[in-house]
Amino acid sequence: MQKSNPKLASGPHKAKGEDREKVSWFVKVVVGLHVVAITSWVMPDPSTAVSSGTKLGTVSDRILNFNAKYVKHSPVQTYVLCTGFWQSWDMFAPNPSSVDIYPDAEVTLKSGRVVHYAYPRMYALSLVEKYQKERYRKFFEHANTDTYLYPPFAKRVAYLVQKESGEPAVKVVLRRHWYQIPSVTDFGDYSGNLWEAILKGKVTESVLMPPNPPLPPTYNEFDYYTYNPLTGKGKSL
Amino acid sequence: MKSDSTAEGWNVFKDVDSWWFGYGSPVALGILRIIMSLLALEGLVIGLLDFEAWYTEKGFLPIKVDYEYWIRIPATFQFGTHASGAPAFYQFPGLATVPRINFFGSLYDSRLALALYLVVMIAALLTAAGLWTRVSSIVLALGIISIHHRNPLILHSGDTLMRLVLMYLAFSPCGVTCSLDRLIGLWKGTAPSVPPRVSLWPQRLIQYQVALVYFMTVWYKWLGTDWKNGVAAWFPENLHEFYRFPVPEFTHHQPFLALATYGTLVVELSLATLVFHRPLRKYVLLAGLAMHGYIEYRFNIPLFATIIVGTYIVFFDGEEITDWANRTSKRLTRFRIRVRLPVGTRLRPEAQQALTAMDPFKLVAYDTGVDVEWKAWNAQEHSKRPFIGAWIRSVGAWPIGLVPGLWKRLLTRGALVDGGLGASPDG
Repeated sequence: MQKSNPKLASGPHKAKGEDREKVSWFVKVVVGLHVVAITSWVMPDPSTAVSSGTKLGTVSDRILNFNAKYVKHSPVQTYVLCTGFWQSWDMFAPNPSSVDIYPDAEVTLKSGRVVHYAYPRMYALSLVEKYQKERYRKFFEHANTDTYLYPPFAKRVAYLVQKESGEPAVKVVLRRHWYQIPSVTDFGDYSGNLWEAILKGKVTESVLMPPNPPLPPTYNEFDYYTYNPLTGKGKSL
Repeated sequence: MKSDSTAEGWNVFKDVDSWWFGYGSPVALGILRIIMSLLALEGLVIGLLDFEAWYTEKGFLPIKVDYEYWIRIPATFQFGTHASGAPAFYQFPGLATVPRINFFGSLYDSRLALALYLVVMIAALLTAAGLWTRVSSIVLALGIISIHHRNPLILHSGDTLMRLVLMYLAFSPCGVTCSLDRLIGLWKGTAPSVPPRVSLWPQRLIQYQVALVYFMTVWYKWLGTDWKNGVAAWFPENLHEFYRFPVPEFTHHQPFLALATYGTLVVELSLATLVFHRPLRKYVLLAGLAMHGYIEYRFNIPLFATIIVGTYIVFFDGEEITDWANRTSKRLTRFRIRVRLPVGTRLRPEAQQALTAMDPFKLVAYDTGVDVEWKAWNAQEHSKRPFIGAWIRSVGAWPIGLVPGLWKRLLTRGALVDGGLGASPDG
């Protein structure tokens, strides 16, 4: 008769090293706090009406308001910003951009000659180039709206043109080209129209697949900032 | 009754604890390390091509201007309010903004900045290879954090996710498998033949992080009107700056716009929730692949789809990946070869283990031959070139093959003349 193994008597067999397979409570607490911190940080802000107290809002509004008031801008903010755990996941949200936009610039040189500066525009680049240069598009998302970026943007343009032409730039005018993309029939209206057409027995191609509004044929142009590289001063237009 | 519910609660707690902090195979972390560091390297190479524009004082964002971006976030702890101008609970003494990791923050000399940037690139390469992984992965994570803090204005969501994953990997034992560190350990006889089980909390954190990305993007989208109205897909389709490849005209009309809009929300929400339900996981991830595949085809957002899809590997346990490799190995039997060493030689046991570790699909078998030279035969008994044949079939050896002659040298060094003397490198 085989003798029982005393090591197995007190409990089930454990794989080699399994006794060491324990994570300390310190690590568990840190991981738990980290999860709370990053979750709090990425939650959307409440609407102004809710945060100002003029409207109570839904349950989720109240959760967002509590988070923004008591959690997000507490040590959580310091933790995520210090360490690099900051993040934001509002891709194409809350609504996708409806403005097709790109910039360029007119640069006046010391001789009076005016030179056009073409900021890398993704649509005009080859497949390989646009893969490499996409960060220019992303940068302009900020440089278009954040006024503190206007001077360094213009200064960089002056530097590039000066490097290319060998002549000092005396004036840079930043320009944006844009148009608003018109909206299309929303799905509620579409299904309403389709249902009505079915009831009336008049289902046509334009009801099944309604035409979209045409895109504007040309871009609007707007000079939005002028800069003097010699004095380092600029002005929004 | 009460004790039943208490016991049930305790069991749930134990299940949650076991899921987050249990032990298992590190293979998924090892593969993720390779994917993410290679993608980081690609991103760094792209950044290097426009280094002056993005990371120097002559560029679009000199250090002082970068500081202006961050200074809008005050160096305060606040409780009970988030209104601007409200009194702070605590103000960091002497600081205008939150201190942050940024080794580029005071590198005004572009040559020094470039040197540091190249160090980060080397760290990415070493991390991908799994050489000195503990140090190289930490250097890579700190480097990427610094680069992102130096210029946060050119980052898309993929960059952010990559940074976070690299940070989690730096905390993880991601180098214990699929790495040169392991191969060197096996070769020297200092590493265990089977990779050690590791605590999976870094992998769980990455899973949680990816799910958080999808959950929050759905939440943000639901706050807008275009996603609710089924028209959101229309706008990016018409942003010329995103354009990459064409799609049929009918997809720009209702009801296909609504299908794309609501379909995106459903897939993203599934990737945040149902992906944790094992029976549905495969289908959810396939839907995610299809969605990101479309985005990659249609829109010019470099690396975004690749990075986020690259993280999907963490939704599989290392054991599942190993089982998959074993099943695949059985399907690939016709590609197997038998490499015969020169007569009177055999592989050292340590070398044998290292070579086996490089061959996850078990396509190469090594044994002693009867000829004076290395020989190889495939399953159909056709003669094959031994070194090339073994290298092609050993997936883990592919990077080694990039160094001319190294693979052959390794094999010959691994051979042992019966009686104890190593075979000469000339075989």
